[in-house]
Amino acid sequence: MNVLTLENASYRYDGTTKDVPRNINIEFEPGKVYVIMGKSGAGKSTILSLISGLDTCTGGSISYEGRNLKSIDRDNYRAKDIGVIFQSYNLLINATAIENIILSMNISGAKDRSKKQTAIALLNRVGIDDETARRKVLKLSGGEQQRVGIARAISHDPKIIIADEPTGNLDNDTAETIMHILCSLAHDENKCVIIVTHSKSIAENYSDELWGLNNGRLVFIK
Amino acid sequence: MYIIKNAIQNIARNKGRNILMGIIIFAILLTSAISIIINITTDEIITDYKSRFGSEVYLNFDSERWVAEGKPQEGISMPTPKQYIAFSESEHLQRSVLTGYMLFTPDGFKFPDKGNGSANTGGGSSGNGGIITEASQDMLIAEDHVLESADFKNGIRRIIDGKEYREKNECIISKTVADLNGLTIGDIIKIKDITENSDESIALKITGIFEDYANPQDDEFAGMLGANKCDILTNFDTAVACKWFETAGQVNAIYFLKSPDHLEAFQKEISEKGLSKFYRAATDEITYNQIVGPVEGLSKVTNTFLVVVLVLGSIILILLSTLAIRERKYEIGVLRAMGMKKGKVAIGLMTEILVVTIICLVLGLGVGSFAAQPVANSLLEEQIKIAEEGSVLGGGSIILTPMTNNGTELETLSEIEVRLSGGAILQITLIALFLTIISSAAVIVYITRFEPMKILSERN
Repeated sequence: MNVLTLENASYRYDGTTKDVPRNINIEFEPGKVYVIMGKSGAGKSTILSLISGLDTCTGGSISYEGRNLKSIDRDNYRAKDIGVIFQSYNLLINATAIENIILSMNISGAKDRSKKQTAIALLNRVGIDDETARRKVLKLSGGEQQRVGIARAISHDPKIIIADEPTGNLDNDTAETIMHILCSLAHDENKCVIIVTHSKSIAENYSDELWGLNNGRLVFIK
Repeated sequence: MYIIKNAIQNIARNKGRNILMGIIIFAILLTSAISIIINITTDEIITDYKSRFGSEVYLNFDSERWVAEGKPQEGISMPTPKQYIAFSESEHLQRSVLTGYMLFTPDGFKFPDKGNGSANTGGGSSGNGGIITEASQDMLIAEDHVLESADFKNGIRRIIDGKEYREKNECIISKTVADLNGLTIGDIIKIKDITENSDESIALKITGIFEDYANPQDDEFAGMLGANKCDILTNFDTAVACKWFETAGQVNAIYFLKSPDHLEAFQKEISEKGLSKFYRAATDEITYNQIVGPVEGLSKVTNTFLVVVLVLGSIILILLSTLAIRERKYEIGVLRAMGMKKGKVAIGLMTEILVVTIICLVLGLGVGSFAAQPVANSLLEEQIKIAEEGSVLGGGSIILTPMTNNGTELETLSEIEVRLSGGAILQITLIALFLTIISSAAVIVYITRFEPMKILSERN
């Protein structure tokens, strides 16, 4: 069953006359890793903004479990149903890694009584040890921040996980670890993982479905 | 709940910004606290004095108007005793103090001759209470509640036997007169009309005997005016009931209005009751200004100070919180991207400012309550200096020590005791809330205008 459906979804920026991306049609299922490739400016991040409910499409529609995103509470959708891993991490830099995770759980309304323990367990799972987990995000390396971002994205057990260039700032070993985590979330925990990247190796090695974005149009590759 | 917890954690996470914000809020609240504490005290003092001076009314001759109208001879005589009494019945008055003066001739008893020490079958001298003076024609001064008069209050006179008169046709007499005539409590004395061939007289029952401890040499005014201390005192109604009071009597009146606001209506009423246009009901403005002027000056200074601090402080806070919001754009964007609703983000940020403000409020009230007294003393001293310099420059007039109606000296207020009252705490708390709202305004406007992606993209 589709968890997310894009029907002729288009987006036009203010002051422009061209839709980028335009007429996007795609269905996302749980348990799969979707990779969308494209050059810079092709509209990859815009698609992720639309899917994550950070913005709304100017044409067509996006449906989550059959409900149009425009008609549902998108704050609630972001808080509970979707986890976003940002290219620039977007963590609260003055808070510790644990506090970032706990805050995400709180926003989603999680009833977990031992949130701190859960947060530490999540961070351990993405390779952050207890000591690092207690440090302020500001003092963590790029790779560590990216792992905290992943932990935060899965902290409220969302059905969809979106990752924008998740390995863009990481060395090869760390990138590989991160991609294994994301694949594991899809294959072992039945999450729908959508990755946007311009890395061919990631696209070829980790995708269950590979799509290309060319001139604003989405094309199925494999 | 987590929003409040996160907000409190955020205060510690962003120490620098919050300390800066706290210093400004503390400075505003401290100065506001000092101003308000002083203001409330000065307002209480001013209100008290206003009610005392503004309610106490005399009938004064309006010489300016009289001169302006060409000094006519008609209408310049003082109000009659009947008029004074009629005025005292006004519904605008809380009470009135009427003192009657009436000439009489003693009948069957004598007074000491105060000029040569020998006895004289004459009357008494002036003072408070019903009094029979010594002269060829003696004067009765009648006043109710004689024990509240200055002489008795100040201990110059004291009842040594019997009690104060309560009923009509009762009196108290001096020990000198009692000894001279062998009079005791319960005896009856008679006083007569001063008019020749008149048979009018009244009998007064002695209820008390008083001792007069005044040294006549100290009583400069008595000597100057040729007056003597009264030896017989009776109540006002007794004097007014005498048939010859209309021709040989006078009334001095002080009226106490229900509130200073009644002055105009009272003036209108007594004018309708026949008061000459050259007389007007007036309060003692000169004394009031002399006593309360510096305090009013202090109040004005602190009020101005408060307004300036609030206006400048608010501007600084708005600027600071606008700058802070630019710094916090990213944080707001992250929270919104995580799905936190606009309202909750706003509540979180407002809670932070509120907690900082509450801490500053407690500190401000604490420090302010201690600092207000020395600040008030210093400012008041300055105001008194200004008032003194002003009076010297204004012509070097002689300043008489102001007196109350019963002769007690009133001193210019040279010090005030300020304290932190409930009203002050409430006002300062309201200011603190106002500052919180002002500081949060930029946050709320910003959050409601922007979507998370826009905030994050601007940051990136």
